Amino acid sequence: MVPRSAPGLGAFVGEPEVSGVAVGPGHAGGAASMQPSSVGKDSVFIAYQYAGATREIYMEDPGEAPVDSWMGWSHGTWDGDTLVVKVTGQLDSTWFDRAGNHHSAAMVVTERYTPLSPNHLLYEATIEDPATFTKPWTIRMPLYRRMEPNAQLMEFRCVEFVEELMYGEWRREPLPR
Amino acid sequence: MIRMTNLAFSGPLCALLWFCTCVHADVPRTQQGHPDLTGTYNVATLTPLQRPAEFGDKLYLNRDEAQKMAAEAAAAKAQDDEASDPNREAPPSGGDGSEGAAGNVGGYNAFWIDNGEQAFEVDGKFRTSIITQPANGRQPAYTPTGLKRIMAFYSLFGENTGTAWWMDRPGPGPYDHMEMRPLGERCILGFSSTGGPPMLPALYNNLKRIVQTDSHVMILTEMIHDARVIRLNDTHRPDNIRNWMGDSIGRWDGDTLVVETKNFRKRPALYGADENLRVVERFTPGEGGGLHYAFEVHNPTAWQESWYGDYPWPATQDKVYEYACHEGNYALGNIMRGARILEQDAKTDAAAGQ
Repeated sequence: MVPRSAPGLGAFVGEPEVSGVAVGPGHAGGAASMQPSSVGKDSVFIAYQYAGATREIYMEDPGEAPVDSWMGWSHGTWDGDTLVVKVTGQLDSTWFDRAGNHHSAAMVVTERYTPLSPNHLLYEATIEDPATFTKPWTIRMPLYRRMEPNAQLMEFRCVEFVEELMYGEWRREPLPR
Repeated sequence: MIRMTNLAFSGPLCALLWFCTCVHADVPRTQQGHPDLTGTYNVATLTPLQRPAEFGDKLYLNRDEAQKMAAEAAAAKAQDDEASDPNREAPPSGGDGSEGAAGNVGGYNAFWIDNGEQAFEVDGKFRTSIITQPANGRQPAYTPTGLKRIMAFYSLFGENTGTAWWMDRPGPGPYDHMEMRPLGERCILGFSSTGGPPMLPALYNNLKRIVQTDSHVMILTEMIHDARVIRLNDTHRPDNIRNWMGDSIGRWDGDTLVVETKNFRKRPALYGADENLRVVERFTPGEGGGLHYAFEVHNPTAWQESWYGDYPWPATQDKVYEYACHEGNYALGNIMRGARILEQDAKTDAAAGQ
């Protein structure tokens, strides 16, 4: 149920001028970007298919996160054609992967989304978390736009799939385990 | 500069009811010339969906009535905001018999409630209800099929007597498994049809965030963080693909975004509706950067006639904060566990011959 850790890791966004749908490499989910139609709007919004997570990137400095949250607190700036996003205020309970690689609430993720072509983005993210890692580290990968004409973000109600795990023991007639 | 625009309210009411919405000529527009609805809106209002019977067919409150409603709400909140007596006794086990959260043993107080400070206004008049048609401002009668569904649902609720009252009944009980519980309790859809459609106000979490592109309009509902993605100028998915929030297609009709939604699952967010629900919504730029939101509900297997409503979505500078309903949903587990304890108590009592 926990939204994927470190927002943007393996997720997709469209490049600055275009909306789209894509699936990142090695990533179970997809995401649609609902981008501003032009640079200069006050935010970029990302709706992820995975777990129905959402995230807003404020292009005007939103200040410090009011409190930590699953998807963190994102401040975006433009570096030429690159959208640079500084993410703070993430709860420390998410993992980078299913192996349990973790981070602290003090983690700062700096993401860079750079158009490589009309249908490709270069995604980079630098993770700084002195409480967990001895030095900053960076991931980098291309993200590919889904090219099917009917590519859509579909409904993903995670709750339906985890209710048995979380509450199943309290069924009137528990299922075999 | 403000110009006045008359907007037809579609459906059988169109010849009778016209409402006038002030449209700012300087409304932000896309390169294609459509209004840019991107913004954050706070839909909280004291006006209920259904009109209290005392108002009959009266669509508007007079100013005194509106002030009275606002004053009473403010007084109730002020009373609830008062510091609690630290020496107060615990509430009686099972509640004190009063209405509200399990008999006043403690539930949402004013801190959690954010349902607006006054009735909403349309053209300077305070409204008695969101629903405008039928004329009594209330949902029409259910069809026999719809009534049967609702009664089956009602039968799952009983007075909280502190006993496993459902054990004496034939058929499934209300706490047999998680899927017997209401969708809001399970964090699947917001109660009060917050994510809709139709998108309605609730007791709290009333912010809506709209982000618009040339091809899509996304509406984030604060409650349950439902991101509703509306495809513009597209066709509906095949009818055999069913979603909790349906399948929404939008198009521009002048300065109004018209959204049609169908292909719901059997239990849409809208209480009483079924899988045949079809909703038409209209989003029109309104005063002060806000929107006017109007909707039609067509569900001939649930209600005997279609029904209609509208209310304003005022703009706000607030941000939508993350709402992770499921994270904090210890209640569902406790509800299920409590039911098992009561059942065991009943069995123990029966074995003891009580």
